[in-house]
Amino acid sequence: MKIRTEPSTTRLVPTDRLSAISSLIAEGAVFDGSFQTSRDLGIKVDGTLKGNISFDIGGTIHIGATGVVENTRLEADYIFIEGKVVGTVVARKALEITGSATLLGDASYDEVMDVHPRARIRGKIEYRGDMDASNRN
Amino acid sequence: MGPKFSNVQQTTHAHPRTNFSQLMDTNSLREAALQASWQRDHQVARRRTIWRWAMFWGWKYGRKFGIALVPVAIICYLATPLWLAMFSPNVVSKQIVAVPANSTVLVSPPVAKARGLQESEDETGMILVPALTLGTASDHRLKVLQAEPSGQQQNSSNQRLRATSNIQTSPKESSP
Repeated sequence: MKIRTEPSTTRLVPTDRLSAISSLIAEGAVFDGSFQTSRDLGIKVDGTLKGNISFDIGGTIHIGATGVVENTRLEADYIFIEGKVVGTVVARKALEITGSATLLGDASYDEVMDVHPRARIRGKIEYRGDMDASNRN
Repeated sequence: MGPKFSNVQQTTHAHPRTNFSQLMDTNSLREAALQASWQRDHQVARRRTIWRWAMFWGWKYGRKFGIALVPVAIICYLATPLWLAMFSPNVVSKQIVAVPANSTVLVSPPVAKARGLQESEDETGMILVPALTLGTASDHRLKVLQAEPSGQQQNSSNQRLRATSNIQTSPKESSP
């Protein structure tokens, strides 16, 4: 079987940012706590995370297809969700929710958002950018 | 005494210095872990998305055509034994050979060999059916070569060539 050397197909989140992720919670692992940093890093969750993830500046959050994040507040520039998220999602630049994702909570984005038709979302999706600016364009 | 660099800070390292080669290994390890996770993501996400699409289409059109699918399912259930019986090894297999008009061409049957038929092959390896090779067909005839493993004779209204173990055929021709 051919080894996949690229992440899942994304439309908004840059692939190089997903490739530069340096923190990984592997499948089967359970992490109970919060992850916070003021650097432009990335984190990928394939296991279970019970806590918040926040990047003060920049940041890339990738919730893998096997990842489960509960009682959380995700805050970063780029958020790519393939698994299950229970909580609040705040994307300062791009938010992408794939067809295998499940979101139970509210999501907000400042610039762009992409939701697959088969994604399951139960909550509110809010655009926090300038509504008048988008009408002028 | 050598030059004194005031801007150099001398610190004691709590951990041993990391070699550049170790950094490369760490990066390779990180990339390998990410690639493995991507592979896993691709498998799980694809399966899950396909399942969700199947549930969606099944729910959307299953309610419309659900009633119509019931007799189809019943027919398929009843026809399955018949269909399986048709392709069982004990059933007679048929080969259809088309003979063009006014031809004296040596005609060989298709690739599949009739089961139970004593074959006589020429040098080229083709199976010869004597009744087909001689004479001229005045019109288009569709001849069916029937192979019977048990050697039993079968009568049929169709045009057939009966091949016995001695390969002596008496074609039974009837106008279509």
